Amino acid sequence: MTDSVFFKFLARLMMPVLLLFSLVLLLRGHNQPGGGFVGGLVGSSSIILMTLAYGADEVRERLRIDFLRAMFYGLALAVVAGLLGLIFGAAFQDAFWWKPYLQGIGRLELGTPLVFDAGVYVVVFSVTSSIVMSMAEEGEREDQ
Amino acid sequence: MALLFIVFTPAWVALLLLFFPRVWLARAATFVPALIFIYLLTSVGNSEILRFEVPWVPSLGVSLSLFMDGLGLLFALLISGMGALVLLYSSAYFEAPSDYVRFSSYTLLFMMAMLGIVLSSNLILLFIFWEITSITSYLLIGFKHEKEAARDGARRALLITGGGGLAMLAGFLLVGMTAGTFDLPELLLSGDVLRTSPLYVPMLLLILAGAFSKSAQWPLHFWLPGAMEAPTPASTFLHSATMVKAGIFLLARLSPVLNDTTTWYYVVSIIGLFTFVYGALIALRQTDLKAILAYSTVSWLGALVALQGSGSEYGAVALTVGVVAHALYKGSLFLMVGSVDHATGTRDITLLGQLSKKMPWTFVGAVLAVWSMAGIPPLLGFLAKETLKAASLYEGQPIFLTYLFPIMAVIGSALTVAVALRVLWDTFLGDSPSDTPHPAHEVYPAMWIGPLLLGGLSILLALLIPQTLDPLVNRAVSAIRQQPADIHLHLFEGINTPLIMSAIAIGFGVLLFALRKPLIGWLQRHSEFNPTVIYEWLFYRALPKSAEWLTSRLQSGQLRYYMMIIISAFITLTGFLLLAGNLTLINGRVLEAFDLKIAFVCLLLMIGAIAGVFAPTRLSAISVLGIEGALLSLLFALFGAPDLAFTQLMIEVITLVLFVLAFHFLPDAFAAQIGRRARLLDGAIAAGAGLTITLLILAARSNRVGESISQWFIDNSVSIGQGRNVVNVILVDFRGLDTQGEIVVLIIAAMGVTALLRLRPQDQPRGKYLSNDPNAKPSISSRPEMEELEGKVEVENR
Repeated sequence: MTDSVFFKFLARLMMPVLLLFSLVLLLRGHNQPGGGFVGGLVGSSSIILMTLAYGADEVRERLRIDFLRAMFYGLALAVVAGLLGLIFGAAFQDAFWWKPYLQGIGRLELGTPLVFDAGVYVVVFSVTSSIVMSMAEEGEREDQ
Repeated sequence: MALLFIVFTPAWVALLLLFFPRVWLARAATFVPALIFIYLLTSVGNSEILRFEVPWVPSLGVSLSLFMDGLGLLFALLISGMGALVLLYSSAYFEAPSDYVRFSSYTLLFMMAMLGIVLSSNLILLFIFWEITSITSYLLIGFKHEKEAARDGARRALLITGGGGLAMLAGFLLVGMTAGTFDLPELLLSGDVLRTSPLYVPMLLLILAGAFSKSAQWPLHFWLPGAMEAPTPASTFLHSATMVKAGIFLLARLSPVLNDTTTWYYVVSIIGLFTFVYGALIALRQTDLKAILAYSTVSWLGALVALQGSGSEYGAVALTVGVVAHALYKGSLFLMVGSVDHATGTRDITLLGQLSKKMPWTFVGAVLAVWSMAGIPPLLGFLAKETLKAASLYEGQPIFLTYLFPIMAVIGSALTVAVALRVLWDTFLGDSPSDTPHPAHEVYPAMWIGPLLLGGLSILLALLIPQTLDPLVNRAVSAIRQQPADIHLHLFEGINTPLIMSAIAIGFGVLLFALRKPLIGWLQRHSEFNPTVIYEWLFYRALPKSAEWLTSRLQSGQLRYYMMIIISAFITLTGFLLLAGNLTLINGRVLEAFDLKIAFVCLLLMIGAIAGVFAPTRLSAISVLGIEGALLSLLFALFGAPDLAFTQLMIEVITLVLFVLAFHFLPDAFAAQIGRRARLLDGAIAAGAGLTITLLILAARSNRVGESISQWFIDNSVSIGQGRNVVNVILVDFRGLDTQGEIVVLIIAAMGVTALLRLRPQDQPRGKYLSNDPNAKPSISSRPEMEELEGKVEVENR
């Protein structure tokens, strides 16, 4: 936790930017640099920034996300993406693509690997945030 | 299909009982083995071999396949019949209903495994069922788990039979590799291949180790008396009638392909004969009724093993009759002991006596059983002893055994007679009235019906041989010897050598019984060599001591030592392989890949590493590590891997934040703690690791054996993976399973960190985990949490 107003302001400013950027990284990852892993890291850096600025307790209170739980949702998402292949295709993690053409925007590329990547994103996001926040919480209690 | 139901119905009922523990359900479960028994009885007459098969792991030759030939049928009859009686008996034996239900459940599970062993048609399947019997036996021996002795006995039985089982698995794998199949009916045709194989002796000894440990042959017999801590119905069923005969069954099952060699002949005969006499002698010395029966079971199991040495038809007949007769009389005697224990509160034979009037029905059952055990006509036990002696006179045996076998057979039988008479006399008759904790009384009918029924069967089977025993024996013998048999047994075949031998044995046995007081006194004064000593030294001294030694050496609790051990091991092992492989390290392909830019970054990295080792403060060390990480991502970028570079940079940033957060948990004395010599050592290890990796990469590049898979990924990324970012396509599609495993590891790591931070004992002061004393001896008690976090940073850079 810091007393610097400037840092707090910057953290709040950066948080949506970083989250948006992480989502962009996730979505474009299949064709350009990016992907679920680095996306998750960038996303969690927004949480880390907020934790450094406001302290873990306040972030936890405001966010109301239990990261320990969220990481399992991410894993479930990744497994479901694999199971889709098993149910509709030949094997576990068999890939399926759906590419509708949207008027005026372009071709949308959706597929089970993207769902899987989203699962990876959620896991990495939650794991990193959870570790950093646990550490920060310990430190805060120490200070009291 | 019928076979599938026979094997698995007990298991389904057992699971039902575990989830719905009701007494009425347990009572109803008694009918499961009874119905199986009746069904099996009806199939004695038809000689068709039932089969059932479902592929399981076809690529490894493992299938869920069952078949029932004469041998399997014989044992399945014993298992289901004894099982029904034991369940009936236990309905009155247990005082607490919950105990009765739990016992029924375990027993049914065991029954499933046992039926599985005798009906398996696949060696691997047989092994799986074999191990399940070890586990259920563990549960049953440790049934009264609040007693130390019960836990001890259970653990001992599990270690010995489980260890034997592992040896047996190794033997099975050798057999399967040599014969090319695990399928038993097919395997039984490939005896010549196995016998002439160079692996024959190891595979035989490994399988014998499994069979002998299960069937309690000397010197692995000592778990069986310990197993007598089980409730008596369990001892009856497992440790007398069925499980200990699994080893006998296995020998009989595999004898067509493994016997007929001198190794088999001598090992099986001598171990068996020695156990036969040894067991009976030790049985005579015991004062606990159950221990007497346990050792006499060891003894008879020895006889059953010895009978299989020659592989003769006599041997097979004696084996079949012996298995049936023993199950009947010993089962009856064990149940009798349970009743006596239940009624009087003791099993000590010196305290018991003159129970015949107070427990008349139990007494009648015991008389029949002892009669059969002693081998006195016209009971089935007589036929068993008679066939044993006939088999001992088999003419085809080596000269050494021609004399040894008949003599040992007579001595063993005589001792058995003495043991049997002693059990009967000192419990039910005798001079002194019983002096027991409770006044004796007759037990519930459910508890004496079983023994009486078994005793009655000993007479009935002996009197109705052509109708009852002959078909069963013929089918079993032809299955054991893998050739048709036409056997007609008779109780009396006129005056012949076996009959004279039996008469001598009985006379000698009665004499021993008459002289029992001095004999027992002498036996009790002279203790034999007991293999338990080795067992206890091994598992209670040697193993814990060496584990403690190793743990205190390796688990110092200081991350620095862990890293040193891991990295030194890596350097030693990999370096050794590199040197031993005598590989060329530099060729044209390596030289043409040389790039000045990259070499420059590498040089900077090396300088940074040296600076890291000699950094004066922790802060400077961390800064250097951060710079190293940045340089590393620059290297990735130079190699054209923007994804990796980006990820590496993110990791560096987050690690730095973690370090800042962890900073004030760490001890202050950074510079003082790590002195100059320690730093030099660290530096040397780091340099060694770097050198090893460099050599490894050089060796890998200049000794390529196949085409690199990278090109395939690049070529197929768009067409198959539908994406232009090859790294991402590999991560989420081509190698998706790896990624899935990795995210699971991440979750485990996060949970570990949370647990270490949150689930700390409340009184543990924070930040005091490490001793600041640089000379402190590493101890197990120092807490490693903080170092672990520190390590997360250091791992990547050391």
